[in-house]
Amino acid sequence: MRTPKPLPVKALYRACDVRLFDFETTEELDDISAVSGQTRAMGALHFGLDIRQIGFNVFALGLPGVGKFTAVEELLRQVAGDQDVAPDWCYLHNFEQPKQPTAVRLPAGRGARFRKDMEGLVEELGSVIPAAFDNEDTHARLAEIEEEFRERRTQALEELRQVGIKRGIALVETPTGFTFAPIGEAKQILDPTQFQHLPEAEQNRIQKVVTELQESLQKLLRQFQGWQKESREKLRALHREITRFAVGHLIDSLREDYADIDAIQAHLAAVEHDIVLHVNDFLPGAEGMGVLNIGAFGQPAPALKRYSVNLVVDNGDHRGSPVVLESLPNHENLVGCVEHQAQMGTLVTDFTMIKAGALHRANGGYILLDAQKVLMQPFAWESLKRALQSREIRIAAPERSFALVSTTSLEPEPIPLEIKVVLVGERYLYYFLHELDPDFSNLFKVAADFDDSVDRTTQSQDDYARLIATLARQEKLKPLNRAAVGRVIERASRLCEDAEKLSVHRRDLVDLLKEADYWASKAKRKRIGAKDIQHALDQQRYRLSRVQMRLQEEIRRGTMMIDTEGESIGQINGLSVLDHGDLIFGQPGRITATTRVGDGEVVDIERETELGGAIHTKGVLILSNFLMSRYAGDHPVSLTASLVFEQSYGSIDGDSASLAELCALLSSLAGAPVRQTFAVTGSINQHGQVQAIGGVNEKIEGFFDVCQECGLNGDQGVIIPESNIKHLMLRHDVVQTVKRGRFRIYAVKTVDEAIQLLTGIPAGEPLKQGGFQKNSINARVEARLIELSDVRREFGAKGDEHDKAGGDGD
Amino acid sequence: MTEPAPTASSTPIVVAINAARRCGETLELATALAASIGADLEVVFVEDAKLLQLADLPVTREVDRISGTTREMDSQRMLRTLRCEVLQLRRELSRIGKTTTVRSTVRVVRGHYFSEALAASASVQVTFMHGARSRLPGEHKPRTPATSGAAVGWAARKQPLWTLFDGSPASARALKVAIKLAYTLAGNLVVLVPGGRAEDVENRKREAQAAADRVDLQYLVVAENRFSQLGRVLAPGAGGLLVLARKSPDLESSAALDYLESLAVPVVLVA
Repeated sequence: MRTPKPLPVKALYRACDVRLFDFETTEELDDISAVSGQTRAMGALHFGLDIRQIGFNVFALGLPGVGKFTAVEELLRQVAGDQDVAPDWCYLHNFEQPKQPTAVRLPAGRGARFRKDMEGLVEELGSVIPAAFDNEDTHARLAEIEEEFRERRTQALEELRQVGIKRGIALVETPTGFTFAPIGEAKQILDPTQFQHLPEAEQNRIQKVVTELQESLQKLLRQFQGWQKESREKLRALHREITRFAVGHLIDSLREDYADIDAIQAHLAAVEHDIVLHVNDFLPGAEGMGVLNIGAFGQPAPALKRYSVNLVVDNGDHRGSPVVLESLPNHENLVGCVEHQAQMGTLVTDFTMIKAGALHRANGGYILLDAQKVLMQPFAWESLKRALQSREIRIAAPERSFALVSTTSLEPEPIPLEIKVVLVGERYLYYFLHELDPDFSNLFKVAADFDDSVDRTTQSQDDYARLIATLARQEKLKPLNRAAVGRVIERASRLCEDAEKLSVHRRDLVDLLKEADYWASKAKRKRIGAKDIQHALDQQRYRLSRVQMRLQEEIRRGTMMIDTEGESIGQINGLSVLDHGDLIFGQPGRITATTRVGDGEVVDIERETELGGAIHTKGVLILSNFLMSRYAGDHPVSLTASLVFEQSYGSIDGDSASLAELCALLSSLAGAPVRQTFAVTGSINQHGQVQAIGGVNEKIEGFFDVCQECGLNGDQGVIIPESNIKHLMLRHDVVQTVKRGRFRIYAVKTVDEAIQLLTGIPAGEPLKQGGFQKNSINARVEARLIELSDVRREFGAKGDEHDKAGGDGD
Repeated sequence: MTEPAPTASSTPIVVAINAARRCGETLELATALAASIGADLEVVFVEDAKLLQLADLPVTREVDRISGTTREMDSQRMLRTLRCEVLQLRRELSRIGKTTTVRSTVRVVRGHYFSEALAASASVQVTFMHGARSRLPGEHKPRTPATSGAAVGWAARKQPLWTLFDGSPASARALKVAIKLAYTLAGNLVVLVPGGRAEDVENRKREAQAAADRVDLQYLVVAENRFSQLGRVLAPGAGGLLVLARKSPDLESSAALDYLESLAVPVVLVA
C-alpha cells in the first residue's frame, strides 16, 4: 500500500498567470456585458421576453449577488428600446356613474396634451361663461322672463282686486299676507260697527263674496307656483342656450383635435352636457365662482374637478416600451390605489385621487420585481397573480375585500394589461412556489437559471478581467493593474471553493474593488495593485475575525484541548467549519473514541444527546457498517464503541468528520497512537473510500492557524480527501509555509492511507487466506475484535453456568 | 373716483317703514348713507290704522303670502304681529349697530304710510321711503344685510340711482345726496333733466357734473310734465332708487300722495 506524499505547493493554489494578459491596466479593456458567461440563463430570458403567449413570464433564479437584476435589466432595456412606445392612460369622471371613473387610452404623449387642453377649457369657460351671461342682452332676456312672471302675478292679483272692488270688497295687504274687507260707498273699509249695522243679508253676501275671493286668492297662489316653475324652466332653457353657445365652439375645437379617439369624443359630449346643466358652477355667486373658481393650492375648485384629467400613465417622454423596476412591490405600488382626503372628519375621494401602480406604468412593456419582496408584502403576490390571470389591472383596496373599512370609495374601470413580468429571486423561492402555488407554473413558465460560477479557462479569465474593468469604471474606481486583476481572479476561485471555477458573484467583487480602491487611495497610488487587493482581503477578514481569534486563543491557553504535538490512542483532530455571517472559518476539534466489550453497537454521543444532525448520524452508521463488514465478516461483533466531539456544545452536522471518527475508532481498537500533529477531514463510504467534503480550504487554514498559534514544528499537516485537491485555493501564508516545509497537506483515497499516515504503522493489506498483514493496523483491529468476541463468549458461558447452578438451587 | 365730500347732516336720516310692506332694501340703503356721512338713523315704523280696524271684522280672514293658507284675524293678533315686526326691526338695527357706527332709534306711529312719511320728512334733511310696490304672493321678506354688504349688494344688482335736477337749490341738494349715495353704493347715477331749451339742458348738465366732481353721471332728458315721465321711467321692474327734493311743487301739492303711490322704487326725499 502506498503511503501518501505531501501535496506539492502547486497543488495548493492555482495562481493566475498574469503574463497571459495582454493589458497593463484595466483602463485598456473594453466593457463587457453583465450577462457574460450566463449563456443558459440569457437564452431563457431571450425566449421568455420574445414569446408573446400568455403565462410565459420569467423567473430569474440564482444565488444572491450574481448579478441577476443587472443582467435582466440590461437585457430588458435593450429589448424594450426597439419596441413601440406604450400608450398613455388616464382616468376621467364618469358623468353617468360617478363612482366608476372611466379609463381612456391615448397614444403616447396625447394624454398630457389632453390634460392641458381640459385645464385650458375649464380656465377659458371661467371667463367665457360669465361674459356670456354678463351682458346687456342677456340681462335683458333674463329680466324679461322675470318681468313676465311678475307681470302675470301682478296682473292676476290686480284682476282679483278689481273683481273684489266691483263686489264691494277690498284686497288689503297685511304684514304676513292678504285679507279681504268690505268697503263702503266712499271706498273706505268698514269698521266693525259699520258692518254690524248692515242688514243681515248684506252681511251674508259680504261673507260669501269674501269667502269666494279668498278661495280665488288661494287658487291664484297655487297657480303662481306653476307659473314660477314655468319661469324657472324658461330661465334654465335660456341658461342652457347661452351656455351651449359659449361652450360649443370651445368643445368643438377639442373634438377636432381628438377626432381619432372615440372615448374622448364621448367624454367631450358628456362634458358639454354637464357644463350646460351646471352652468352656475362657472358663474359668480354663492355656488359658482366664475373665474375665481380656484381651490386651495391652485387646484380647480371641487365643483370643476370633474372636468379634470387624471393622467395615470404618461409615456410622452419615453423611447421604446416601458421597463419598470418596483423596489417596494406592495399591493398599492403594484396595482395602484384610490387615495382619500380627510374633509370635515370624513374621508372623501374622487377620480383625481386614483393613483397608478407599477403595473400601470409597465403596461405594454416589462416589469422587474424581486420575488422575495413581492411575497413578503401582504396581498402583493395575490394581486399580481390576479392581474396576470385576468389580464387587466383592477384597482381594489384589499381592506375593502375584508370589510375592514366602510369609507366611500371608487371602482375605477379596469385597464387591459399586456405585460411581461420578470421575477428575480433565489432558487429556493422558485422551487417553493412551484411546489406550493399551483398558479405559479401557469403564470411563470420560463425559468432563467443563473450560474454562480463559470469554468476557469484562459478565455473566462480574460472576460473576468473585462468584468473587473467594467465594474471599476461603473463605480468610478481606480483602474487595476494586471497583478491586481490576477489576485481578484484567484480570489474568485477561492470564493467558489474550486480552483477550476470562477465565482460570478458581483456584489462581493464590487465590494472588494471598492475597498481596494480605498486602500490604494490611502497609499496614494493611481492604480489598484495586488497589494491593495490583498490588503482589502486581509482587512475584511481581520474586521470579522474576533470569534476566530478568541477560539484560537483558548486553544493556545489550553482551555480548549487540541494537541498539535505528540501521539494519543483513540484521539484525533477533526475539522469543522463555522459560519459567522460574512466570516467562514475552519476550526479543529478533538474527536475521541473508546471501545469495550458489548453487543456490536457504535454509540454516537452527539446523536444520543441530540446534538448531532441526520447527516452526521448517517456518517457514523456508515463507518459502523464498514467496521463490521471489514473486520467481523465471519464472527459476531462483541464491541461497544463510543464517539464524541470533545468540548463541543452546539449542534453538529455533516459527515466530513466520519474519516476522523473511523480513524479514532481504529486507533482505539488497534491500540495504535495517533499523531496529534495531524488534523483529518473527509467522509467515508462503506468500502472505506474517502469522499470529498466542503470547506476544505477553511479547514486546512483553521488547523494551520492553530498550529501557528501553538508553534509550527514541521510535522504538522492536514489529511484531506484526494478528490478535494482541485478545490484547493489556500491562503498565501499557508502556501508559503508549506513551501518552506513547515506544514504539509496530504490527500488520501482510502481510510487505510489515512490511518497509515496518522499512526506510522502500515494499514495492512488483506491476505488471501484471510486476515491481514501481520502487525498491521488492520490485523491488530481484527485481533482485538476477535478478542472481544471471545471475552463475551466466555462471559456468556460463565453466565449460563451461573444461571444453571442457580436453577439447580431452585 | 374721488370720494365726494361728506354731506353734513345735523339731523338724523329718517327711514319710514311700512308695517305691511316692510322693505329691507330701504333700511339697507339708508344705513349705508348714514354710515358714510356719520349720521344717526331714525326709523319711523308706520302701522296702518285700517289694518287694526279690519282685523275685527267678522268676515276677514288672512291668506298667508307664502303658503296660501287662511287663518282667523282679530285686532289682538294683528297687534301682536306688528309688535313682532317692530321687535324684528330692532334686532336688525342692533345687528347693524354692531358692525357700523350708526346709532338708531325707532318710533312707532299709526296712520297712513305716505302721510306719516311726509310728515316725518318735514323736520329732517334726508328721508327714505318705500316704493309703493306690493310684495306679491310668494315673495319672501328680504332680511336686511349689514351695511358692509349693502353697497356690494346694490352694486351687484346693478341698480341705478335716479335724481331730478332742475337747477333749483333744492334739487341741487338732492343731487348732492344722490352723488354721495352713488359713490357709497357704487351705483350708476342717472340725472333726470327737465326738457326745455337745449341751452338750459346743457347748463343743467354742466352744473350737475360740476357738483359730481369726478363721479360719472348719465343724463336723461324728461318732459316738463315730470310725473308722467317719471312714472314711465320708473315703471315697475325698472328698479333703483329715486332721490328727490322735498321742496318741490309736486310734493307740496295735494296730488303728492298719489304721486308717491305711483312710484315702485324707494324714494329719498332731501330737504
